Amino acid sequence: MLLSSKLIALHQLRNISYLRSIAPQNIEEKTMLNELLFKFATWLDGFQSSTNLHEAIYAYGWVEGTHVLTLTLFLGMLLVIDLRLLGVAFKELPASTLVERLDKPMMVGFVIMLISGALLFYAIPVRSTQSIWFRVKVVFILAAGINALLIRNMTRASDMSWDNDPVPPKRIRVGAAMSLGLWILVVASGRNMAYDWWDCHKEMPHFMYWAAGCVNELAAFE
Amino acid sequence: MTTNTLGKIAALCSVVIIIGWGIYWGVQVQDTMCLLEASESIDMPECLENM
Amino acid sequence: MDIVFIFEWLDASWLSDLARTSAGLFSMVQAVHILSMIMLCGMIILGDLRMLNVVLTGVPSAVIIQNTKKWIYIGLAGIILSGIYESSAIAMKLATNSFFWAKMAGLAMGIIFMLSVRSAVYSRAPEVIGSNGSQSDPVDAWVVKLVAVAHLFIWFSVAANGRWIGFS
Repeated sequence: MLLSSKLIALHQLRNISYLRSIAPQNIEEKTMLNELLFKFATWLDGFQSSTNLHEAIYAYGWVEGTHVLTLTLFLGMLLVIDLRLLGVAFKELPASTLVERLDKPMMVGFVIMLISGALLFYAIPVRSTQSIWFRVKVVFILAAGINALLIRNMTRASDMSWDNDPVPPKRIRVGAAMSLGLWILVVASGRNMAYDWWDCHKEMPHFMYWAAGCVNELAAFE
Repeated sequence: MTTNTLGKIAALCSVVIIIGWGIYWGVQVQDTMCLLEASESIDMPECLENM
Repeated sequence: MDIVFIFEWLDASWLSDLARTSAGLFSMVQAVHILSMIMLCGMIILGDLRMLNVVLTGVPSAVIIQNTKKWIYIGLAGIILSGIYESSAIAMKLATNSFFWAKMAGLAMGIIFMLSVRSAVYSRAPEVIGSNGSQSDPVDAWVVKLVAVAHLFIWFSVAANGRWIGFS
């Protein structure tokens, strides 16, 4: 029943030619990556422990609870650092003091988030891989990581003469604002993973099937 | 308020909170373990009656 | 005192209609709730870990506590406003949810404890913790640390019970 409604939906979409026109030119290459990711997710899904974790009444909730609660440590410390680099809080303290000394608790939080996040992915690998929100989240995390590296390089390259200034130079403030903005988007897209608006079984533009990596639905178009 | 009095009140409040916290989460963990047991066995476990 | 009428009123309000019908807006408010929690709890963790001499040891504690205040209030306003909006969608379910009441009790306790005991004790921290210069009449160091632990415990419960409402 579900499959037939899915196919009807796909058939309807196939007739809407303008949707196809917005698909990227190098779609074959991108689809190959989608297929690889799908294969990897299916392989993970085959493990009994993955199913067990997903179906465990409380274990999944504990892992998810840990993931959400650790946000307060990881992003809480990051917020403190970024607010100082923006020049809006902790202005009495040298920026380097906060950056260097809050790094450890922040990274402890990051490692816990990474482990609990990996477990959450492991519990529901196929749906997560085909979640547009998860994909967007990963992109934002990578962007936030690159941004963090750029900020570090900028501070290392400078003579830190601004260390005691209440308001750091503009390029540092821009970096801090970017960092906060990107992490806000990470949190928001992570939260939206719980919604099924753009799950593969939904009717949506062809582009979205590609972006979410719905390989079976895409194959039905061929 | 003198510092001595403040210290005593603060210590008392904190101890009450920490003990209360321990009892609350102790009961939560116990209930969880009980529900887990109930979900895995066919018979109704004894602990369910005390919940 | 029977306060179910508050939930009935909220359940029938336009806010509840809006929360139930606009899924996109609802998810954004949920994100605001989480982000406010990060701001509130992040600043609380910083202050309490500082008083436990775990982070930023040697940096004057008064400066840190003073700086966190404003952000704690913004975070509190954020969680309360977004929380009212979120709760309006499932008001009648929450009225009988034990985790919701545990969270509300923790929230009330956390706010009262933070503004009264924590604030008074932290401002009289001894030199060994505060690093604010010697004080004439400081509170014992162990009392400061006990307050920090109790405070962290309360807010942990608020956040954990909040997450568990979703599973119950």
